[in-house]
This record gives sequence, C-alpha cells and structure tokens, in this order.
Amino acid sequence: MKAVEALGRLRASASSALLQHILETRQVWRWVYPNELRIAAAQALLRVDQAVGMEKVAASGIDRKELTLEPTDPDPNASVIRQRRYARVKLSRNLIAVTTNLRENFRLSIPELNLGGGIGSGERHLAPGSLLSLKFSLGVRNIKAQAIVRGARPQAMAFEFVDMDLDERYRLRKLLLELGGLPMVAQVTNRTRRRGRVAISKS
Amino acid sequence: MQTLVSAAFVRLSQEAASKRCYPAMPQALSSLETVEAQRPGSTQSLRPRIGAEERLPEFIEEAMRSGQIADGMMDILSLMPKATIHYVTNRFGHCGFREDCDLLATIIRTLGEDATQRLLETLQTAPAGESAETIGLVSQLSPENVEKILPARLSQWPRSSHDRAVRQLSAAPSEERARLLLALYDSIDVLIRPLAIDEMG
Repeated sequence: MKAVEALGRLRASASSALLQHILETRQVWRWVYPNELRIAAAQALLRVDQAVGMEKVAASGIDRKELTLEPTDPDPNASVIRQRRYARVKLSRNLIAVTTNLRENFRLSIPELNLGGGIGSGERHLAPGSLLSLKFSLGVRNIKAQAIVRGARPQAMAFEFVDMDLDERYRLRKLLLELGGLPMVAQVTNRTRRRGRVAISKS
Repeated sequence: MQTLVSAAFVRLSQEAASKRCYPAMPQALSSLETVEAQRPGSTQSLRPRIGAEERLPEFIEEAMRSGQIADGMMDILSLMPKATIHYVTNRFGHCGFREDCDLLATIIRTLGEDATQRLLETLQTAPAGESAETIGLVSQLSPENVEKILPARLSQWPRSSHDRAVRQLSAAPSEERARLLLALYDSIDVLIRPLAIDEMG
C-alpha cells in the first residue's frame, strides 16, 4: 500500500503497467485486488501517466469521490523536515476510538483524522513512541488499527497509523468522506518558522 | 584583594556571556587556567560562578535563532566538547526544520573528528534510547557508519527505538535518506516499515 503510494509520489513511470494491473485485474466478475489497493493504484497512475490514468479510472468502477483522499505531494523546497502525508480532514462530529492494548484502556475523542493518523483527546496521555491498538466503533462494524503516539500535549494527543487491514482502511476512507467533506490541502508554508522553538511534528 | 579581583573577574566574564561577546569568554577561561597553574585550587569556586557551561544552551539557541554561528562561539564550545555534543544531540532530535539540523551538524563538524567519533561510539555502544538519538546527527556526519553500525544495533532494540531511528533519519537529505532506509529496511521492525517507506518516497 505504502509502496504503491510512493510510486505515485516519485512519478515512477516504469510502474505504469504494474499499477494498471492492480487496478484492472479481474477474476470472473470480481476484482482481484482489494478496493483500497486499487484506489491507491489509481491515484498513483493518475500521477505517473495522467491520460492513461483517467481512461483506466473511468473503467475501473471506482467512485471519483473515493479518489479525493489521496497522499499529498511533498514540497521538495520546504524546510520542514516532516510534511503531512495526507491532507488534514476536520470531522463534522468527533469520532470516538477506544484503546484495546493497555492495562487501563481509555476513550479518545477525535476531531481531526486522515488516512495517516489524527489527533484526539482522552483521559490519559501516553509518551511519544507508544503503540496503541485503536478500535473505532461504527454501528455493528469496527475499524481496528495500530497507531504510534506522536506529540502529546495537555489537550490533545497526535497519533500515526502503522498498521490497518486494507478492508478496514477502505471503511475508514468512506467514513472520512462521510464525516469530513473535502480535505484541507496541507501547505508547509502554513507552518511558520519559529526560530529557536521546538516544532511539534504532525501526522 | 584576591576576593575583589575574583569578583570583578567573574562579573566581567558574566557580562561577556550575557552580551554574547564570545571572543572574551575563551580568554577568561584561559586566564583561569593560567591562574590555576600558578595557584592550584584558587579558581575552583570561580569556574561555576562564570557559568559558561550553564549558558551553553543559550549560545546554541541564539545561533539557531540567528541562523549562524557567531564569531568566537566555536572557541567556547570547543572548550566544553562533551556538554556541547550532549546538548546538540538532544536538540537535533527536536528540530522541525532542515536549516536547524544543518547548523547543529556544522557545530559538531567544527568541533572536530573527535566529536564525530564520540557520537559513533554512542551509536555503537550506548543503550537503545541514548544511541537512537545520535542517528540523525551521525547520518549527516558519517552516513557510511550509520549503514555499517545500525543493522546490528536495530536487531537488539525495541520497536519504539526503531520508530525513533526512522524519525531521526527523516532529517537526512532526501537521496541519502532513501539510500540509508533502503539499506536498513530488512532490519526495521515490521510495524515501522510503512513509515520507512513513507520517508523513502
């Protein structure tokens, strides 16, 4: 998944055939590759070869709306060391996630989330680098993910996803589209240079 | 008489530090050494009162704010290499901007080969947490050694240190970063590999 996204970011033209293969391959009447991987392949193909990408996407059965949550292109001239991987999505209502791997688990209320991670507030704060198993409850189905805690501030804790089943990631994509509307384009220029201050990394 | 001279000496040295008159400070510290050689033990109480070491963070932060190393500052830092390496290493891990990382790497480079060797020794022998904090700096100063030392060390480290290692490497220039991460990829914890791929591409 991450490698497919990286091919798009790198504009690796040699990967065009592979991306088309992931996007198009069918077995009888089913797509061979999971939706989420096909979406990533479509997004990468649109960057690698836009004309072919548009043609293939039109025949792929992928809803164009699903393509709106895409990896962002890093700005090569930015002085910021770590740039956002995905545009930030402010949710129309806070999403609740529960940790499941701790001795004392707790709830996180999440106002901002994207496919790479999010920011939430809870009763407890964990040290950056801690591993969290998170469960987002959605009716009868859940989304499970593993995440690493990033910056922890008194009011909020940032986390970055490190592992998620592809089907669950697809459900997360749908949820973000339902609750988030259009993503806000990440611009490194918005992160002002504050000399001598410690920059808080963002997922 | 000695008390009054000592007090004046301390006051002038403190004033030099607060006014960032860097060339005066090594001179003051060198004078202390001369006096110490002539009257052993007589300067023991003066050194902490001058407080050059306590002001080291201020000096480095000042350099980061201004974006350049002021004249004479390296002469002071060279007199306190251990404290400088310690502060710069920790500060590097909290940098969000490339220019700050470059400046901190320049400070260590200017301290000389001994400073790089000391960092390499920490990378090679210190406990995981301490060792991982040196990766960013060493990747700028001696990337070939990161490639040589890190695979073996990663195999002994917990996942959180693997994560830290990848984040430290994110400060390296893009081509060097991709090359290093590719070389280390098989040694990186499975859960941290997606983050490594993100940093490569």
